[in-house]
Amino acid sequence: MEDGTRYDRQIPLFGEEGQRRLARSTALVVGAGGLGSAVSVYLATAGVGRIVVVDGDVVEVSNLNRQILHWQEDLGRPKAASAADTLRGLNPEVEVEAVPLFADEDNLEELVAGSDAVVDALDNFDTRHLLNGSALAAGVPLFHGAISGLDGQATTIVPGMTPCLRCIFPRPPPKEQVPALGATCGVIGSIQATEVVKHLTGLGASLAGRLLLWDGYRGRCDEIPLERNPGCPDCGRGREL
Amino acid sequence: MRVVVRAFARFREMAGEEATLELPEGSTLADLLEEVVSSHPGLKKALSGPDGPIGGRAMVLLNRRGADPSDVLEEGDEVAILPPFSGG
Ligand SMILES: [Zn+2]
Repeated sequence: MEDGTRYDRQIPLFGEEGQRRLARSTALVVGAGGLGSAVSVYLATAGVGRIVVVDGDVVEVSNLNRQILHWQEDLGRPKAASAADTLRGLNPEVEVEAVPLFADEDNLEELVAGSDAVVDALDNFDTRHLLNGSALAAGVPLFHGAISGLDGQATTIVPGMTPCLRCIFPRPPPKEQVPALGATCGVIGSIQATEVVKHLTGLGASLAGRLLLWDGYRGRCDEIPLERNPGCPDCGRGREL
Repeated sequence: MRVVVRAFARFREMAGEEATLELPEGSTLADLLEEVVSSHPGLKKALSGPDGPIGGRAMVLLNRRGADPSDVLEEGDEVAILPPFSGG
């Protein structure tokens, strides 16, 4: 590390070995929108060695209320490229790979297989279900987050141990444009980033098997314990059918 | 039989935080949701959509996992109703 003091304030949390583990890790961030902005910024500044950002969209002015990866000067640019520039600017020690594609069945398999942590920063459940399947097949933990308005949810999915995303949400909700406040993306994306850092360094107790609900409107948190669905088509008996 | 229903986030204002409902044997999850929305018009309005009165505008967990509206309920079942959070 060229700058020996960059991580001084976080090394007390998980030691030099924890910092080296972060540096050796690859995080796949699927989606460079509101959640992807908060997650990838905090993973980059924490020193996760390699961050792969996947998004096929271009930056529009209506993104800028919440997508802090992208700035006024990035309007019209691919989000993946804009994201990579911001992350490199925050921490030049991090290797950032921009993938300017929409996640799909074809590209996810390879992207997921090369990562130590997969972050769900998507804006729809159809692609989330594809990502869930890819993460399960590769045995890589999936860090789920989603928001609507002032509220949101997060959980950590460990293949073979916890319920998968389809055990919890078997059917996608209707496709609707949901209201989105930047600060809500910040809350949920920061919870996801915390979960990734904890997982990579072996710190704390994760959200495995628990759905955390953030009720920003009332300023309170709840959690729902989760159980696997033995007939789940993605991770259970239903898979072989 | 008795089933415990908990609502989360903005559904709490419409349906209350937690209620125990008495239902006839053989009732399904869809029956329970009909029962809940019939006594909470605000929730009914929030949930109605193209697919009927509960038009998919709620995520419903039965005993801590995803469920089908046709699932038959049993004494002591726990149901959680939460708004769909799909944005990113
Ligand atoms: Zn499953």
